[in-house]
Amino acid sequence: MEKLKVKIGLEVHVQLTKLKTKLFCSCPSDYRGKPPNTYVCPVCLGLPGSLPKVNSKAIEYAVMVALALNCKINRKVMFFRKHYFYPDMTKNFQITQYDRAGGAPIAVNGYLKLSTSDKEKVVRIRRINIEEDPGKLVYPTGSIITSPYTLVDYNRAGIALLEIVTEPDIETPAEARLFLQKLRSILEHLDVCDCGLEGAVRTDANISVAGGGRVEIKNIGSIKDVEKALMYEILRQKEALLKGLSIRSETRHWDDVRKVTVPLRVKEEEQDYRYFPEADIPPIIITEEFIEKIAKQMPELPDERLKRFQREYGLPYYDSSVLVSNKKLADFFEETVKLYKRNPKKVANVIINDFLRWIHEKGLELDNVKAKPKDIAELLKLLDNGIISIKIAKTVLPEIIVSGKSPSQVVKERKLLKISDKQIIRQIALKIFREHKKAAFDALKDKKAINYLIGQIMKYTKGRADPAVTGKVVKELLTDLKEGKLKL
Amino acid sequence: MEKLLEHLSWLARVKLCNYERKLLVNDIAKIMEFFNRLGEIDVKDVEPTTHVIELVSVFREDKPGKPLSLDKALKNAPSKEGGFFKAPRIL
Amino acid sequence: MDVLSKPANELGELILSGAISIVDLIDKVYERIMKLESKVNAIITLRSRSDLLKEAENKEKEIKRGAAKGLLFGVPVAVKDNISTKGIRTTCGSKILENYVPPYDATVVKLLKKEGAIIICKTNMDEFAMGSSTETSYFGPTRNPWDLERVPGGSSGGSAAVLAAGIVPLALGSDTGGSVRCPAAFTATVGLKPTYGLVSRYGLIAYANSLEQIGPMARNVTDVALLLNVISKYDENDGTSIPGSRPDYMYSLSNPYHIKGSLKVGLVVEMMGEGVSDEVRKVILRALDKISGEGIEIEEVSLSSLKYALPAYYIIAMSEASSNLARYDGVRYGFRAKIDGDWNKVYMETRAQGFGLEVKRRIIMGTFALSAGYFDQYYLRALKVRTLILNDFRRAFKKFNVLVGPTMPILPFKIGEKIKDPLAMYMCDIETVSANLAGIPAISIPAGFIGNLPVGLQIMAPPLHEELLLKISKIFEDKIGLRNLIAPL
Ligand SMILES: [Zn+2]
Repeated sequence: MEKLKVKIGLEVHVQLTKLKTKLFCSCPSDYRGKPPNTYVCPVCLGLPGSLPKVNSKAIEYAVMVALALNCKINRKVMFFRKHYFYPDMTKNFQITQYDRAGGAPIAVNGYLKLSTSDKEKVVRIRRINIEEDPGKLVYPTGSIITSPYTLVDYNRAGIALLEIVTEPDIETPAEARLFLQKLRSILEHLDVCDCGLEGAVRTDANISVAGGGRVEIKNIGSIKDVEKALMYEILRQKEALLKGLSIRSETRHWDDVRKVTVPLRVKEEEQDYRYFPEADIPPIIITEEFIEKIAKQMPELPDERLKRFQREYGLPYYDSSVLVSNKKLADFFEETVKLYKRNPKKVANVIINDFLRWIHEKGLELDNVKAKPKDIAELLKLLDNGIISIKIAKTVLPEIIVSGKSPSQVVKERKLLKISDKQIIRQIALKIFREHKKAAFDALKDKKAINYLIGQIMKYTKGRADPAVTGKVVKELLTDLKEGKLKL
Repeated sequence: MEKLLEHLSWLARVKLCNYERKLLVNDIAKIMEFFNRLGEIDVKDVEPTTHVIELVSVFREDKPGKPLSLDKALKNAPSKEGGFFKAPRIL
Repeated sequence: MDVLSKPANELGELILSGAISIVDLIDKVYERIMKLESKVNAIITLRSRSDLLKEAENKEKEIKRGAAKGLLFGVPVAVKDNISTKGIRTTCGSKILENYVPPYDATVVKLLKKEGAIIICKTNMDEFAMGSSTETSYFGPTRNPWDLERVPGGSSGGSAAVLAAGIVPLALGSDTGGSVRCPAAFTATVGLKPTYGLVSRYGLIAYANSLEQIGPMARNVTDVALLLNVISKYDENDGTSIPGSRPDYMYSLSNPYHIKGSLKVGLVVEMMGEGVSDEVRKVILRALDKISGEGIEIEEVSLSSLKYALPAYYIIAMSEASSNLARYDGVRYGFRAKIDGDWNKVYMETRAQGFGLEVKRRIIMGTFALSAGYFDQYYLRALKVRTLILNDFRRAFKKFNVLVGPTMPILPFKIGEKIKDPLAMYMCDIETVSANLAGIPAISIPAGFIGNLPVGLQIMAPPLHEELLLKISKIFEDKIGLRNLIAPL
């Protein structure tokens, strides 16, 4: 089948988790892990008579994100009510933003540049809204289908969200992943969202294949799943097209257990949201001075940091881009370099090639890795000082990642110190020579057999024997054997 | 008109009985006519008034306050269970 | 009876000086309620006698300790049942909130308590304040103390009735399109709708939030000023609360004639035209006759956009109502229908059983005005008409200090007379809604009677000119000579 034109747009909901309170009331925002309905007040519970009041910091954060995404920031911002009934809603309308009756979302017309292997890709940002999160539904049987009733926890209700909407500029699931990774890195560099928290970033993706109907996939929880859901959807739509079926516009749900998209049964009539201005919130005027003030306070963003890594640490583009794709990883790198200044490239190598590999292998996130930058620095120093071998270093790394012990502690506990004492290695080598007599004699004329013997010594010492010393000892023993000074 | 009423009753989640439906079909027509009087007035180039007083940029500091106790939060709930509000089933 | 007829501004001083016992006063209030409530039906929730007496006793102890303070110390006050009172059920006159007990006090209630007022009862009202007669209440209609066959006006009919019946000297109402002024006019009491943003709406259960204000009600202008002094404070919980301090309205009344230059009063011709009954017109003109004279010039003025105020008001009010009332779904609070089914079915049934007909009508019409394809034609257009009305008022206030007209176009009507004809009922608000659309302060004071039926004079002032409005009202009250009226019951 020929390559079909794919158009993907994303609608990303980002919780401003770094705010201390909700968007319209002073309830604390760190609701995760708290007992249900203990982080609610008359406002976020939608009690009759309560009124919303805007968190000023939310506006600051939104402006920061808008600047980072190169958006035009509107000078007059208004909140609107968007109406739909659902049990997770406390007022049965959501306070959000809209561009009617003199209203406008906080920011529009931005873009984000992605670097893929072969080109630079621009994804346009259509708009950024500030809005409130609904509460959370809990199904007592675990399933929406079989539960005879629904339990509701409104702790999340009223948490500040940014809704970031792109134009349908994305052409592959991989690009969607890149976009989300970069967005995440930006949000973390701005310190507005701890994107690793469960449910902190939720994505709706819309996709059309070969000009077919626009299919919206709702509420995908992780970046990986966005890529998977889009791949699934492209495949599904291509198969349908092959069978001569047409793709109709619809909304589908991402089932993150079965990893498939399923159609949502939505009544047509439900789509009338009846937006109108929220009279309880006066318009917000965003002045030039305010934007300038924010712009001046903007922290370093991933693109700038990448350039600095190349400049300051002499890292290649690839290394720098891997490191800054995740703020915590870049921070980890820089902190390690502070403690191990002599060779940043070596730090980058360890982090990118070994550290990251082990994190993935152990199924961890950077957040729950126990090893600290000082541990990596220490490991490199142990290596440099000849206390451990490279082979040992590679066995120590996974253990410090999981246990949080320092490298020297692991080396000590597991008796992994390098053996460089010539006498000891000589004794071990003799033992090996005697156990592998044939190999020892073969080694007099065959290089391969020499390597075999060294390998056996390494195996015996669990890699602790200093390779240089070992090589020297083996050579000496072979000379002795040849000259008859050594009897096996 | 009846179809419109049906649609509005669904959008607003208010079930109407036969009696009410008959009444409201009639009322809607009359009230629409009453609303339509606004059609007479020229509003070209007139800005809408969404907020009647000239207040702008009213903010709250990002400072946490005390939430309601669980007891108070759930006190008026018609149905509850284990600290949750109990709502009807979804499907 | 004597203590009960005392104006609040005198009562407060008599209490603090020890001349009146609070326990005795509260006892008398309670007795009078027992005597009259079955006739008037002005009250939805009356606090228990023992609770009231305990509060009265505690307050008396404070007086003895010399710790008593507050502008309304020991003064009995009635509060409309759409204003949240912590621990006292707040129904909005609706079945859907029949058992709702707020966990918090509205800001105005906090302020009343701070000044030592004793909240006696929650007063009857049209369901969710949607009506002009207090007939749409789930708890039955309130009757007008001046004629028990007639309505007391609405929606704050209960608050007006407890004043006119001589039960309490002060009451809080709320005014979305005339709901304080209309019942004040129909019961020969005084009711003020303040500038939008002057009094906090925090805790006022919303009907149409861009239009409404809580307003003070009493039997004379001075008491209205006193109650406004108590409730008008900047409130950080209300984003539309106007920042800054408020004048001392009582102080400004101490010398009402101290107004610079001569007073220019504009009689709005649109408010005296079609739909206004001859009797009302006659009473208003007679009252204006008494008022005009030295230093007061009355002249006619036209605000042509007012012709469109009523449909614009109803489009906006119904639209906002459809949104504000969406939250009543029986999950977090309030009534829930006892049926089995998915959430859609239960919501539809809950709201079908929980709301009365007029509320449903307005929710449906408001949903219509906001729905796709109609928004521009109705809602947006109404907002533009609102701008034209604002502009007309601005122009008029350049020439006139205040504007006047009747509060109600007709006399108090019979219970049941208009309830079957929604448009006829809406027409009752024709004089009052424009002040809400423009956000300006407006007051109704007694203008005279036709037989035993009261007629109210409405006075409107520019935004935040309550001080001027109250001064002028005081002058008019003096000249008309009607104050502290209690219906013979
Ligand atoms: Zn809250």
